[in-house]
Amino acid sequence: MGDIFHNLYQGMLPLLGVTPMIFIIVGVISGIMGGAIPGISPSMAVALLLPFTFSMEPTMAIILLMGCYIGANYGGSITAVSINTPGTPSAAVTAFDGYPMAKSGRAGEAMGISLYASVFGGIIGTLILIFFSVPLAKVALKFWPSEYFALCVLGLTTVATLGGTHWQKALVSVLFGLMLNTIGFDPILGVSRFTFQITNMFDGFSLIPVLIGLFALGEVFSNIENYDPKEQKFEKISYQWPPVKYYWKLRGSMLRSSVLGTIVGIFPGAGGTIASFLAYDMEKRMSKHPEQFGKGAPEGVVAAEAANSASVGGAMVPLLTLGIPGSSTAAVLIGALMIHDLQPGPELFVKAPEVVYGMFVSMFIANAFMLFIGLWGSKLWVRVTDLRKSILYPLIFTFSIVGSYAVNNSLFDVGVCIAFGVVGWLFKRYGYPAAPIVLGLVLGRIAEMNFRQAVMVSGYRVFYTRPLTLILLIISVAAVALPIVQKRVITKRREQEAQP
Amino acid sequence: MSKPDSCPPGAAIPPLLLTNLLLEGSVWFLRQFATYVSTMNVGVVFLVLVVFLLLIGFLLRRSARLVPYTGQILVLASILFMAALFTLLTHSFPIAKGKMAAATDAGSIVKLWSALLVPIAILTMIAILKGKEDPDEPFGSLARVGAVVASVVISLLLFNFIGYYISSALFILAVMLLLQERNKVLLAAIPLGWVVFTYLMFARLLYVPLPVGSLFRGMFG
Repeated sequence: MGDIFHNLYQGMLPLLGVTPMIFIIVGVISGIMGGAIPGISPSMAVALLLPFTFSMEPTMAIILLMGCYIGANYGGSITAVSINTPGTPSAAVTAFDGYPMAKSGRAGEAMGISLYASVFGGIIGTLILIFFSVPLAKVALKFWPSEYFALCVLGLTTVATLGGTHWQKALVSVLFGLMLNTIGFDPILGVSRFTFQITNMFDGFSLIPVLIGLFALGEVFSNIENYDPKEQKFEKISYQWPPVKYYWKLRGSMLRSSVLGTIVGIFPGAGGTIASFLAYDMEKRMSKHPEQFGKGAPEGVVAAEAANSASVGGAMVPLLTLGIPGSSTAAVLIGALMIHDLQPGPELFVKAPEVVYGMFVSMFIANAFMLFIGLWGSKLWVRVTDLRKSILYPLIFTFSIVGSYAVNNSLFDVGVCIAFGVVGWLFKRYGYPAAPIVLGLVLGRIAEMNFRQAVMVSGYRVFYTRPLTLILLIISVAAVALPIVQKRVITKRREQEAQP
Repeated sequence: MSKPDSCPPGAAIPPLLLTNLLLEGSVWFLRQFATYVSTMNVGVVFLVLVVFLLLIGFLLRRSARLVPYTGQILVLASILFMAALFTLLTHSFPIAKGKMAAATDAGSIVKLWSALLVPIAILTMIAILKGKEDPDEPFGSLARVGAVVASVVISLLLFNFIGYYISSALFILAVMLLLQERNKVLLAAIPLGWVVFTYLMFARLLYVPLPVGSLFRGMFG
């Protein structure tokens, strides 16, 4: 325990200057503004900010992006409450009660709850991250390649399970990402795979152009398809903030939702959206007045926002301990770490502790700044929606183009970005989620390396002779099978009950 | 591929040997075909995919039940095409030597992902056939999307000629016009502002050498 505090102190030292503080503030502000703009998700906001970090020190780059991640998760609630248009997918749950509150003249109350719950959730998530990731990373260092492979499989299957009713499509997306990842030189024997003699493809696709394409351009193409020139702006709102003591009444909901949000965030692929839905459902079940949910219950806003923000800390646990992203934004952060020659995973604690602990400390600072920036700039954030779509969309395009070009100064990467923008649009259009593609791309290489290393050392029997590997693989199969079986049992039971 | 020594001249080839011969022949043919495909131009491969999808689309039109799901099925068919192509191409990979390398080669993981994709694709099709998936959404303005994609492609092609700055300014202007922006001040200020911003941010601050274009290099050196 003493080690953790000592390391946190060491991690804090590089952040005490003016420059790191400015980076955190810039990250939080750009995140809030990005999150507040409908159509810009946290992963998109972080991906768009990524090109600015190429020439930075790794710690500075990560604290800037973490600030953006934290800010964007809160920013999404601003438009959810004010104009019933969630700026981010996870803020959709905030809109359930936030917008009815705003409509009944309680916009300030809803915005205040959303801000305080976000900050509280973010701090709880960070605390759990610090005390959970360090021991887990120590265990992870003892894992064999077969266990890493099994973990990757578990991460991939969890995504599919959380795909809900469209789990088949989520699995198709994951496998598409995994297949894409096989393009380029094979990591063990150096065989050129599926490159069709295109030299730019020898190293496979760069992650950043793919990410920007899938998340930013895919969304913009989709918006352009359904674009209505008459709906350029949103209507304005006015509000008043309640006193600080008002929030004390909601402490129970904040704590419960924060803990649940962190736990959900830990599962790879789960992310803030699922965390918000689950916390909302939990609070509704525990409430004495569940009928008020959906009509303007403050606990509904608390649950959604606290869980959503806490999931950030949770999503960082598998990223830092196992190298597996807990959310699509965490997948973008993996790309950021890789750009700075840092391999996410347990070895990061040994090789670059200053980055890890600097990140932990910056998460506290970012949450603190978010409270002040949120309070100070609340009226300004709402004005983000004044930005006309006819300006916003071309700017996102050009940002994406210059961002993907800046990775390797390559026009090929820009082409990749646009191609994946079209892929992202088509996938969104036809109900195939894009986030699992990224997970497949990120986990594919780790999965392949460990799979082949395990087989080369011990043969295929390693997957059923090593207990931990076998358990993880069984859990992976169960993660896919259980919800399907459960759903079938419920459907059959309902059918039987419906029969006279 | 020659007749094995163990078989006397003029005698009938035993069934087991015949099976082995056929198997070896098939593997040889597959390797030759895979090697040929791997040397093809990627544009030709893309064209084959388009023809394949058109064929599937044509077949789907005959089933009133499946027509509302055409887009979803075509996305699935594209991914299956990719998996089949990749699996075929694994036969063009050099055969790994040595006991350890032979246990797993460059194609192992590709075959594993492809093998997993088949049952999942079948399950997706079952979900579609059972009506558990929502039908495809009606199309919005595809012409506008097409025009924006065309503008991006033209802008990229112009990068090397007129450079990033002018090409991106023209692109922003084109997309703003496509989105029916009619405010003349904004139409002038946004592209200009963007050029100034990218120059200061990327060229001056981050040292990202954005293409200046052959035209200006020729004019100003």
